[in-house]
Amino acid sequence: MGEINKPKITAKGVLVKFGKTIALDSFNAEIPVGISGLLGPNGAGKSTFIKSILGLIEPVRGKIKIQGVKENSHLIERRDIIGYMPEHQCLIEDMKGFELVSYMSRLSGLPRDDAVERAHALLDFVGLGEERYREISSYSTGMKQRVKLAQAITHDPEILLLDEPTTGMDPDGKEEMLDLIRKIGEFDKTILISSHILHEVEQVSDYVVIIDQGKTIKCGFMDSIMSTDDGRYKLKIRGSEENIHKFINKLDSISKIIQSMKEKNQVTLVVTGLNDTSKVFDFVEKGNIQLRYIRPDLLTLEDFFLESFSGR
Amino acid sequence: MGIERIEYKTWKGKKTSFSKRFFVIGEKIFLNKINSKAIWILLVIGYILVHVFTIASAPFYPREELTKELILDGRGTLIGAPYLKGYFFYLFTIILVSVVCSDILSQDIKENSFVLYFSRPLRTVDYIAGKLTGSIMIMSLFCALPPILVGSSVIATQTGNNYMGSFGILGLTTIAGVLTSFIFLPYAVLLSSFTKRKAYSGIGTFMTFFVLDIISDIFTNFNTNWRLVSPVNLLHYSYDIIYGTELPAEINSTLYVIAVIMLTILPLFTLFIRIHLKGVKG
Repeated sequence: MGEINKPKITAKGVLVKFGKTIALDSFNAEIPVGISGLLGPNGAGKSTFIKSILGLIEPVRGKIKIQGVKENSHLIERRDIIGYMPEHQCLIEDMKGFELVSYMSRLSGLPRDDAVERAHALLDFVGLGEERYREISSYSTGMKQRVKLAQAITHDPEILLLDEPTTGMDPDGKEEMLDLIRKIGEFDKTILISSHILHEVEQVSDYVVIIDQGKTIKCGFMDSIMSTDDGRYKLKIRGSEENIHKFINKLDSISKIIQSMKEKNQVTLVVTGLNDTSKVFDFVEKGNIQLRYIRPDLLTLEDFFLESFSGR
Repeated sequence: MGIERIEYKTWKGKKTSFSKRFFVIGEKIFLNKINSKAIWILLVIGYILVHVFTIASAPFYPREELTKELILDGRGTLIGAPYLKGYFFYLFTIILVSVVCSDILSQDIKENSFVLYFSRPLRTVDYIAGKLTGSIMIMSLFCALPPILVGSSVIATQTGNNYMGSFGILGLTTIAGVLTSFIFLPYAVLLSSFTKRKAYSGIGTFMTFFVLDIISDIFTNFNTNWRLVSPVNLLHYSYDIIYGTELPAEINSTLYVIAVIMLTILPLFTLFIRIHLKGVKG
């Protein structure tokens, strides 16, 4: 599904255990520059992978390499170029929004004056106005998510790790958050979004990694996932049960039927590997059935996700 | 025309050195605590009961030079009661340390904000050093600054010419003040890492020191080395050593060193391990 020229993050054979539970099982992945989605059901190992990149969790085996950071360098050098937005509550509630972002800026190495200026700029960017002077404990979930994003990008990191960035936000807030991520991504950053909401990842990502039970199931660039180069078509036919059955058998001999939905005397099919559609018309004519439509079928991330999990 | 949309901007400035970032935490803690009403109330009461009369009376009792007896035992002051070795000084020190450290780590545990610190280029030692620095700065307002003021005012009004000797004592007083500011912190900070509730942490710290004093009093009848179990005795023996007096003959010096390690190094080491085990490597 597309080669990555120079991966920014490379995980090779990463094994992470929590007691007897295996969280990442010989996990391999390459994350390119750009916005990548890390998809998987709850408990798949998404957050564990993110924490392993940060060095908050130490793999039992395997390595995570970051381009531009020496392999044997101290963790703080790695963290110096990473910004992290955690999934769960982590904000210091009795601080004001502005106070927290400027404090985190200074901890990330910005001089005092720059930290103050940057905190204001970032809070403007994430859409927090006068609320920045209020205590975080009085913020809504959406506002807290915005502060979390602001504190993660305060030192203008090369890599941004976002763990479920839209959790608890209303639909408008989610759209705005995705828009902010898209804007940050325009600056040649490597952004990894962990999520189980496919629609969101589909909107912003250039690349996806699907994981389950601590293993990579599939990965690839969105444009290659969505492409119909593999002869993917959707068609609907109508006719007697016997004729439909014969048609499906013939169609199966020239392509691969991956989906079939039956409703009364008509069937909707999704096929791949169909290189010559004229044969379909032949089968229809000779088979005495009605073709309601045939069209190239654009694969959605959801289809890709479901396909990845089929047979598991 | 119209309001320009605010876009993301990059930052290309020069970052500060890794090793100095602990001071940012220290400064934040100091500013937070200094804005706390509880701390102010404690400082005001403590100053009135412990320091004010000594500081105010020192210039009006001109003496030849600053002596360790004046600083430790209050000899030659208006009140004439022990100053650094006074029980009120110790009592307010442990109350203050209990209040200052009550939320120093428990808040980070409660709010899970460890992750904000350790996803940044900050080592575990920097984090602990930052927390301690901020606490020492606050503690010094009560434990180090007033004795230095007393010493300075005595030197300013002394009748003798031995300024070198007086400044020497002032230097030792500064060391004693910093030691007092620090010695109870490691244990108090450690205790704060065991709970999410600052009340538990604060009361736990105070009660531990209080109970240790009682245990020490009971068992000293059997063996004088039990005095070392009491934090107040340990502090006073440390003053003696700082001002050049030997430990009392009935106290074993090795046991003294072990007791100091138990009160300072051991809690810090345990704290380091605890934070490290929380999944915070670095």
